Amino acid sequence: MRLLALAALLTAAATPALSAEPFNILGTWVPVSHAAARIGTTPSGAYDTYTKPSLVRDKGLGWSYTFDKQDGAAFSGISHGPKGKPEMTVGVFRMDGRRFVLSTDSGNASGEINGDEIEICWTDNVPNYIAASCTTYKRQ
Amino acid sequence: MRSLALALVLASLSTATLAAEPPQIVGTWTPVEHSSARIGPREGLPTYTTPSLSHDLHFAWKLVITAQDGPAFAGYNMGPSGKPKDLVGVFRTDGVRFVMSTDGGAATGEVMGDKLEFCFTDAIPVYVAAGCTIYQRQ
Repeated sequence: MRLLALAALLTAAATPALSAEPFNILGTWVPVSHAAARIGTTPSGAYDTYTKPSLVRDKGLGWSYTFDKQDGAAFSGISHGPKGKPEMTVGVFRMDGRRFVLSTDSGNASGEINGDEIEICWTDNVPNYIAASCTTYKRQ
Repeated sequence: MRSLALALVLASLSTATLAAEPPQIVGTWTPVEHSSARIGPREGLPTYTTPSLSHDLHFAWKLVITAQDGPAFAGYNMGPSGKPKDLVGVFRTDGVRFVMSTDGGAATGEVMGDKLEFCFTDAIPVYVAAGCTIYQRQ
């Protein structure tokens, strides 16, 4: 009997980790805190042009997100900056169902769920513009 | 009294995650460990037609952070070409991990005591590279 229990335990330990159910990210998310550093001219027109590094902490300068599609770990939606054009955004949750990656045509981001908030950190790399930002969001 | 203490504990648990104060990283950081892999042409380096894997500190870029406002920071790094390249970065809410961007690619990093590690991926046409470097403040 003990051998059977040990065999069952070893089988369970050897089984690959299953993906966790991803967080339901659908809805509109608005910034509650935002910090960013940038130089150059953003292609979306969301910000002024900076010839020297601009360091800011202002939730009014964060983008908001509306995710309207989710199929398991994959999701998509629209992001809106403080001004300028909205951008299509696509993302996928990692296997833990809590951390995710995001992409737009100007850069990419990684995010994670913290309780009822999400944090998204971006890096943008396009000609004449580099930026990094971290923003915490709450569902609207 | 016990109920009050319990209520305070529960209230603190339900409070939204507070941002941790990020460390001050302004200054010059010198590489102490480095590993990287690259293929293609890059200014200041030989052109690699097959993947080059290296642990040579000479491939690591010098890192200088010149400004910081809370979690946001800016500076430059300098590679084999000797030309300084602007960089910008921001700490995550945990005050330990950060993201960083340059005109050649993006990086994620973290501060560990008096050391700092960042790992980059380059996104330059016909050149791909990835590397991780551990720095110590000069």
